[in-house]
This record gives sequence, structure tokens and C-alpha cells, in this order.
Amino acid sequence: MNENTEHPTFEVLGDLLDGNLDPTDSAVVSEHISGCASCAATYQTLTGLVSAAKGLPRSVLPPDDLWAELRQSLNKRKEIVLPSTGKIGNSGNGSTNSQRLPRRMIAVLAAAAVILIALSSGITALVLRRGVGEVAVRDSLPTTLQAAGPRSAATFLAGFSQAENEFNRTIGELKQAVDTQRGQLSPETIRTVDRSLAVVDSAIAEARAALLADPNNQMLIDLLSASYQRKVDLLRRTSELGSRT
Amino acid sequence: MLTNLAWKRPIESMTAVPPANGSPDREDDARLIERARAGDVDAFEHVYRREVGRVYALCLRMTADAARARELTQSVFIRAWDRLGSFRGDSQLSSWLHRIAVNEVLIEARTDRRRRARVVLANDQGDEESESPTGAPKLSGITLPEDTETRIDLERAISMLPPGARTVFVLHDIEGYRHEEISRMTGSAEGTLRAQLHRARKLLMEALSR
Repeated sequence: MNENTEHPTFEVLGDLLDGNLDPTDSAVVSEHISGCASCAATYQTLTGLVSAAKGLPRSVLPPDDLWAELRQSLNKRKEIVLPSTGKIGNSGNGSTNSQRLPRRMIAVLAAAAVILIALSSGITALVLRRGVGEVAVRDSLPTTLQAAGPRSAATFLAGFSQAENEFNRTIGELKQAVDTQRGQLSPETIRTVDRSLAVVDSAIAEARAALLADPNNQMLIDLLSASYQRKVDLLRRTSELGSRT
Repeated sequence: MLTNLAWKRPIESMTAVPPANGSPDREDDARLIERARAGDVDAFEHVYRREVGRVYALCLRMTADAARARELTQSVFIRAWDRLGSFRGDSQLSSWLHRIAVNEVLIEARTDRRRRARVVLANDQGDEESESPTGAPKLSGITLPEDTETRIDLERAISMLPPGARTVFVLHDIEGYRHEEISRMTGSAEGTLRAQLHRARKLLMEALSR
């Protein structure tokens, strides 16, 4: 019986269950459990909990079908992209009404943002993952040949700054458009947008710093890319809002 | 004492569905993606129908908020649509989408920390007198069979966890990610994640033993 020996903590029992103890500790704790009813009961319940968690359904349908809304959003995104292919200049009746020009400019910028979103995750992820110069060549290679080893910080930084410049250029243009419309937005909207931008900027700064410290971290690349996209998205939506008011 | 949430109804109305992978008429991922990349929304609908359950389940469990989970699920599929060009086919489509979903939830949590604080445990320490020698709550022989009622209890208890502990528990114990992977996703140290996981399990055992 092990009733007189020191009981393992709950954390140690958890580590045993997760296989995080070294073999010696694992043997000691297992032996204790085999002779201690209290710890055995806790361990058994813990095992049951983890097993029940693993057994929870991995798939749960939302209460209502989201597809109709989603489809609308996707089609809208497609429509916004179209003007960039040249249709924006040919749309409507060819009116040259000067009052419409800013809206068109905004539409172009919005389209640019959407294109950027559509392309950036692919391109940016590639660019951030590898140097820009490597992208075109490597993309035509089979996946197995593209598996690059750890890149150097210098290679990473070259690709990183180009991709980031691209984002920042678009963000700058959108910001300019938003700034010209500030007068048309309510103070509350402006405050909300500014606050959101500050939060996104902070997330970008956080992810950027982490990525510079760990350039091979795919998750951070995705995180940074998504944060930039979120900023573009926010500015685009704000500019659309401004153009509607 | 656990605080209650506006979570009860969504949990009870949750409809579990079988994994989408079992669909016999499942189109080949590569073909679907190719069509979707070309702007075919119908092809993307196949992807959506197949994967929405898994994405929504993850969002719901990580946020403990049905309305946010709904919004996030939509965002995930919009992001996926935007990022179709980055899907290289070297991972399963479902894994790729799952990663996007985890990212979306984590990003959203970071950009709106105030909302993360909506679910709290009033007393994380529990009643010391009811603790066993391990520091775990004394358990009156709670069992966790796979019946619906217990599953609902467990889901509800998970939803009541503090956000950090819940995130780790969902990603580690339900979704099967390793601490190392979660550390990369969240930017938290592995030791911190382990502590969060132990805390989550302890709190769940407490909640389920009541």
C-alpha cells in the first residue's frame, strides 16, 4: 500500500495521462496509483473526462443554414473584383458626373483591396515563406521539390519587406480614401473604426515581432497575413460605408 | 459556483452530424478547389456543406457563444475563399480549413479581448474541503458515458471555462493538437499551456461532480 507515500498532484496525474512524465517518474506515480484508492479514483475520472472530450462530436451543425448569406457575400466579393478587369470604366451610361468620381476611385481601391485579399494569402504566404524571387520559379515545380529547408533571416526579410510594402501601399491608399470621407461618417463610427484599427495594428506588431524572431513559423506567417488582411478588410468596409452615406 | 450563460439553448439545440468524410459522392478535393478558384461558388458550396459542421463546432466550443460562432464560421469560409490560391493540396482540405478556423478564432479573440472576459468562473479554487489528496475535487463516482445528457453537461461545463483554459482544452483534448502546436498558434509557452490544461480539467471535474 502506498497510503503513506506522498500523493502525486493533480497536475502530475495529468502529465502521466498525457505521457509527459519521464519513465522513472511515470513508474513511481503508476505504482502509487495502483495502491492508493483516492488517487486511482481521481486518475480514473481524469481519464474518463479526457476520453469523453475526445468522444465529443467533431461536427456540429449551426442552428440555421449560413450558406445563403455566405453565398451572397462571396458573390458580392466577386462583383467588387470585376471592375478591376476594366469594367469599371465602362459601367453605367458613361456619365462623367464629377460627383461620382470619388466613389469610383473608392470602388477601385475597394476592388484592389479585395484582389489583394484574394491573392495575398496565397502570394503573401509564399512570399513570406520564401524569398520573392523564388516564387515564380518554384511555383511551377512539383510540391515535393518545393519543400524548402529552414530559410535564413536575410532571405526571409527580403521577401517579407516586399510583401509588407505591398500591403502597406494598399492600406495607405484605402486610408487616404477613408480620411477624405471622415466628415460623412458619424463620430461614433469613426471612433469604432479608429479603435479597431489600433487593435489590429497592435496584433500586426505582435505577430510581426514574433515572426521576425521565428521566420520559419508557418502559423505566425498565417497570423500576420490574416491580420493585414483584416486591416485591409476593415478599411475597405469603412470606405464602402463612407461612399454609401 | 459556476455562473450561468446564454449558452444553454444553443448547446441543447446542437445537432451532431457524422464526419463529412463519409460522404460517398464526395467530389475530389483538388477538382472542387480548382473549380472554386475559378470563381465557381457552387463548387465552394460542396466544400462548405462538407466542412461547416466541423468549423462551427470548433468556433462554438472555443468562443462559447453561438452568435459569435456563427459569425466566425462565415468569416472562416470567406477567408478560405480568399485564400483558395494558397491551398497547395499537400494537406487535407479539412485540415487546411481547420487551421484557418483556429486562426480566425484566435485573431478575433485577440482583437476583442473584452468579449473574452464574458465567461468567468466565480470561484476557480473550489471548496478546499471537498478536495482529494491530489488537489482534485473529490468525486462522487462521476462517470462520463457517451449518452446525450452527459455530453450536453460536458459541453456546457466546457463553455463555462475561463477563455484561456477553454482554448487549450478544446485544442488539446478535443481537437487533438499537441502543446507544441498550440504554442505556435497562440504564442503562449508550453508550460503555460500545460498549466491551463490542468486547470481546465480540474474545473471540469469540479463542475461535473456537482
